[in-house]
Amino acid sequence: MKILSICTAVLLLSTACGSGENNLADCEKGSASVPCEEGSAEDRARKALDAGDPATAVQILSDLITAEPEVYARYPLLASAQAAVAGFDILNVVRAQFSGGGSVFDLMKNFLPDPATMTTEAYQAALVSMAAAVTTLRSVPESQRVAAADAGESWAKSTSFQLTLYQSGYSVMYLNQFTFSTTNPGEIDVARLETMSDADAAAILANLAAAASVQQGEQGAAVQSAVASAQASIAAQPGTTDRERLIAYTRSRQSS
Amino acid sequence: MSALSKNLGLCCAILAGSHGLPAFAQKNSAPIYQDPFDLGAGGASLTRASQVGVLFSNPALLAYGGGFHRWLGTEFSVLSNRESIETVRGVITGSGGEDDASAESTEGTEEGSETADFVEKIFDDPVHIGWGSTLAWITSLGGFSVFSRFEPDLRARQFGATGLPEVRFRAESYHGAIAGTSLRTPWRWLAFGAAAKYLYVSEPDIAVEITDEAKIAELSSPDFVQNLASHNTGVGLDGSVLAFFQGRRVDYSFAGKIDDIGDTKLSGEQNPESFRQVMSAGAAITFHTGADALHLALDMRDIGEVYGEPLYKRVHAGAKLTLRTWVGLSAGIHHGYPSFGAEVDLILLRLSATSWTREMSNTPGLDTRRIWLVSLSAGI
Repeated sequence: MKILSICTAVLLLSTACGSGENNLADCEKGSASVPCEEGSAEDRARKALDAGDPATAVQILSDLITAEPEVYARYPLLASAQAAVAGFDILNVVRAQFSGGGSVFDLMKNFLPDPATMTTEAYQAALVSMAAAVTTLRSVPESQRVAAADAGESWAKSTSFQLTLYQSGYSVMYLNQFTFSTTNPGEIDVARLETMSDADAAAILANLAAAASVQQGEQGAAVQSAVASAQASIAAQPGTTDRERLIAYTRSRQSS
Repeated sequence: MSALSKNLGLCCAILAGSHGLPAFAQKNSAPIYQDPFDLGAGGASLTRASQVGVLFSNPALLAYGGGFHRWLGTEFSVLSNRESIETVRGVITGSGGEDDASAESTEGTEEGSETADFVEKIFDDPVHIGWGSTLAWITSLGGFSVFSRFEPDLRARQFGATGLPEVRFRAESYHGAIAGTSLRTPWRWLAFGAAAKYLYVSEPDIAVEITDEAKIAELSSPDFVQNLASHNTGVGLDGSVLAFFQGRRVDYSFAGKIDDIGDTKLSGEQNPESFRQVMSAGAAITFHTGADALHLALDMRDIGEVYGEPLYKRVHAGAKLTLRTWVGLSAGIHHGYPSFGAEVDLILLRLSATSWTREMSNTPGLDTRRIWLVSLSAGI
């Protein structure tokens, strides 16, 4: 009996102390001899986000939304995952002070991927992901979003706030393509602004205008104020076209 | 201080400041109070429970064992997850703010810096702490205990439920009294048990997006705090049965239990509104000599799945090894993770230490807390 007890104690303690990082029922990392528990699709998406794998979360949530498009509460979560794929650091955004009164370009530059440190292809892919985040949020009917936000639904308030963030973020990312040097990482190349077309300028300003017009509560007010400040500054620049005014505005920011 | 630190710090202060209000993660198939040594054995306690744990796990166990008087005394335990200790240590030693961004975003006073450090840390590591205490008299005929257990849990996520950074506060606040008795039958191997309990419970579960200043302002209102402090009350009944086949060297036990017969209705404005009726069953084999025993047990809780928990959270398996009646070692599987514990039973004091993992969600590995508990009992 003594020998049995001691052997069992040693066995149990070594088992208990020797492992424990992974759940036995985990389908990927668990024990093959234990029935695995996959969890709900939403939980799997959340797990992927927590693990820093937003691309997997995007795939799972996109499938869920395709299957049940009327469950609007999932849209802001998908959009945040798409923005994360684009390199948008939402936690850093929240860390920042939006009450400082700076322009949206100044506020956003620290939270967005830097085109100078990426290949053109990677930056374009990030831009596409950010556009996808905006599209996802715009898929929620405005009437439903506003009504739900008025009723205090947190998904609706989040949708409005993120729509403001991502539309303005997309504008800044779009503009940054034309300001950062492609040959010297981290350096500004103002001459590249000339490659911006009228259509590019229109897209940037349209997104800024859309970001400023999202109906919402206090949550996005500071961002909208920063966007409005940028719009006013751009409008005040010399030039006859949006493109000229945007270029002038960008040059003035660089020189200051 | 950055907006993040300010908002989240405020959330934490409001929510953590309500600790007199006790208050997680919603009632499940686990007993409302468990002995630390039983938790070390994976929580498999239907066929063998320790001290006051008998009343909560299976009162029919009272019928077996030596002597009339079993225990009169009190027990106090504190628990924490490892990360909570590291968070506190990091903040105290100033090593909490490892993140460059946090360093950039913190400014001003030392106090502000500590808050920012704490805020940054809880995005990585959840905080889970708690305490429990009992005062009980246990005999072979019956037992009575008052109990109190409070476990708050604070977790911040970069991607909350709606995609924005969120802090979530949950708590389990269970207090009350329980009286249990056992009923022997003409057959020595069969006993029934029953326990009546008065409950004073609260399970706050609050998630706040840290960008939502209006919501944060709402949380700081006196009405909200007062509401958070309130508890629901109710009276419930548990029933159990134990078939115990004693042998010279080997015993076999089979147990069944119904918790909260007919559902325990709770009145008040808090959650939960009721504890649902749960049926559980367990089996065990015990190898023993006159002084030592090795108890191997398997419990299946919530057979009817009324709480919707997956299988891995309802199956509890474990072993308890008691040597010369004063030293105990336990190990098992709790929520799919290893658990272990040890106790030293001195004449008037019992010291025990236990570690187990709790899965807060239903998906393995999504929201886990590795918990460490130390407990001191004093009594005769």
